[in-house]
Amino acid sequence: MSTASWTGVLKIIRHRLLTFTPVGGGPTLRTLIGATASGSGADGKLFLNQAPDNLTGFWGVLRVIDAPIQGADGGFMIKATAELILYSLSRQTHAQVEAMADTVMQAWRKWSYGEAGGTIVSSEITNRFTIPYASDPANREVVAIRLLLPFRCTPIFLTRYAAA
Amino acid sequence: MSYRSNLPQIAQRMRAATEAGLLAAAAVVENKVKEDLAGGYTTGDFVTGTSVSAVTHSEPEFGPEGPFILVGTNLMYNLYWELGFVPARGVFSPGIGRNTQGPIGFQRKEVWVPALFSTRDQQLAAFQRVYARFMGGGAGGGSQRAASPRSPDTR
Repeated sequence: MSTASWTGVLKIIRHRLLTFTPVGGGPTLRTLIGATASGSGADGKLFLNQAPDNLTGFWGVLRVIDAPIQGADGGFMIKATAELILYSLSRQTHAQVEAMADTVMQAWRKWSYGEAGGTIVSSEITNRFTIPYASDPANREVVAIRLLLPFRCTPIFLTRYAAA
Repeated sequence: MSYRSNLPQIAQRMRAATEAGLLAAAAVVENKVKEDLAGGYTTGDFVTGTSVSAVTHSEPEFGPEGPFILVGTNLMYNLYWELGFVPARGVFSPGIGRNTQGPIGFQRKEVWVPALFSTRDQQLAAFQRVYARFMGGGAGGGSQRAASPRSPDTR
């Protein structure tokens, strides 16, 4: 995993969210959300951009919804916002999904990643929202909690042109 | 010779200009959302115009983090489509008791957030245009120089 590609950036973020251990030794998101027997969810059912249609239990989808290049930094910094939605198909498990969101908020707090030529720095979470599925056409049994995770990124695929 | 400050009037005019600018920027977003909602969320065969007519905005407000305006709707199903949902049984598929259940997959079609992000430049342009007009500058006249006791107003 590295910031040499945008997919790499997302994978780094995904790895952070899945493997972070809360202070006091609470379960990681990987433990809470579970994993698939094989495939891209084998290390935790947090999928990038799109999830499989046949999932059960808990899962999450992580994607970037906005990634403008702003600022007077030579165009090497991307100020992006990632969207994470945590799901469950059973209303009975609402508290568990909320606990997952708590873990994500802790993992995102004051986090940074660095490598030669690339960085990712998290900013404070701007929004946590439990989607109120209360009427048609939505299935009321589904629990979904959405978090917006802003971050700044100077990826290798841009900074390698700094000397050009 | 006494000095009279025009700061209160200027502050009031700037506030009015900001409110007008926010309304102009919000109109850009509203129009884009309405345009994108006009074709419906799926095939377009069941469009009634309810979603389009429900797009609205709040009054401009001045909050602790600065002035803002909200663009939104009171239709919950617009929110479900925007953030995604699993259809209830019988919606988009045969219900219980029919011969086949049909696929009940996750549905999502984003309209509002893409409209907000894709019109950034137009929002800013609309805000600046209206703000300048309120402050007496911009196209169509108005002084291009800051007022000063030493320079007569040549408007």
